[in-house]
Amino acid sequence: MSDVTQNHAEWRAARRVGFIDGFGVPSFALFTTMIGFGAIAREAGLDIYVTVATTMFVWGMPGQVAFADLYAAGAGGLVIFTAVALANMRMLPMTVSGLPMMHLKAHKKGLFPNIIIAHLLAITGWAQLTAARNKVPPMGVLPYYLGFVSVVYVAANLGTIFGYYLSDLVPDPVIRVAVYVTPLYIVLLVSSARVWANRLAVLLGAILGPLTYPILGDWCILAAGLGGGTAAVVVAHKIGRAPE
Amino acid sequence: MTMPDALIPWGMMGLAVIATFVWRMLGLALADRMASHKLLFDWVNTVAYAMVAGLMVRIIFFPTNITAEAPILDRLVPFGVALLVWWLRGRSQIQGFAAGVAVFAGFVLYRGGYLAF
Repeated sequence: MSDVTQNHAEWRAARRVGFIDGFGVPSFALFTTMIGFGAIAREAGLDIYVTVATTMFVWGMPGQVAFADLYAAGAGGLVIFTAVALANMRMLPMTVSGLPMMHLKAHKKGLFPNIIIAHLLAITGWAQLTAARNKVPPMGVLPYYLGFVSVVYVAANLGTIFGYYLSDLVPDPVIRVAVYVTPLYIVLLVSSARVWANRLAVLLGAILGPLTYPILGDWCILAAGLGGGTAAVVVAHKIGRAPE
Repeated sequence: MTMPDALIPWGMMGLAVIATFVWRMLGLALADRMASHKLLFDWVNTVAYAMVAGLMVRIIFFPTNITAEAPILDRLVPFGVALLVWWLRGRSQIQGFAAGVAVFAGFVLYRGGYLAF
């Protein structure tokens, strides 16, 4: 088998693993979360097209909810921009840490595909990268991610549409459970990080987030991230448990 | 400059899209440069993990969504059960997740009068 054919076969094999992993909890979690968003968006007075476009092009749940909430309240553009930027600021550390795991440079996909890859990176896909590294070879992480995220992306958009139209047909308890599912799933996913420093960061962030929320409001995510993350990396380097 | 009314939601959504996209583009531009600075890279990683964990636990403890109507214990007990099962079952995400969702669903059904003890 030539190198090209072999690479192609490896690419498809890794993509298949990611595709299969996309079904199950991740898609279910995002589908149900986005049902919640669809319902919120309709109540906010957004039409179905803007609602689905928000899921497709913002692709970051807390920012989407902030947008719908503030739009309903009649907030101005600057307020919406700032609130969404703050709510989705984690995209920066997530892309900085996530994209190198996919070895983007070695794959040489070009700028436009890289932008699409970066756009699709949100919390679920990012958290899944940790699992991906145990399942496929290093060069397989990108196709794994693309297979995974394509399933999750479709599920999320279907959930948005479903939530928009069917929120009053689905019994209220179902929506409540649906809304609870995603944060729980993501907490368990990040708690299972392989690197000790990252697990410590999860623990510290999980304590600092709710602890500072009553004082700082939505800025608590910064306190949790910068405070917990900095403390974790300092401790890990001091006691010799730094990531390899 | 005024915007036709029909375009206002689209304009606001455009701002939300840009507000999210700038972070991803900045990440794409910085990713390779940061990868060679080990301490900086480790730090960005731990910040990402801490930020995500902080936000998610905040949403569970102090939600702004429909689950906020329930007493705080209804959200904390399932969360504790999920973590306990996850830990006891060798960090099994699926089992911890299933346990937490089941307990939360139990609370929801109980409060809604669907379950009577």
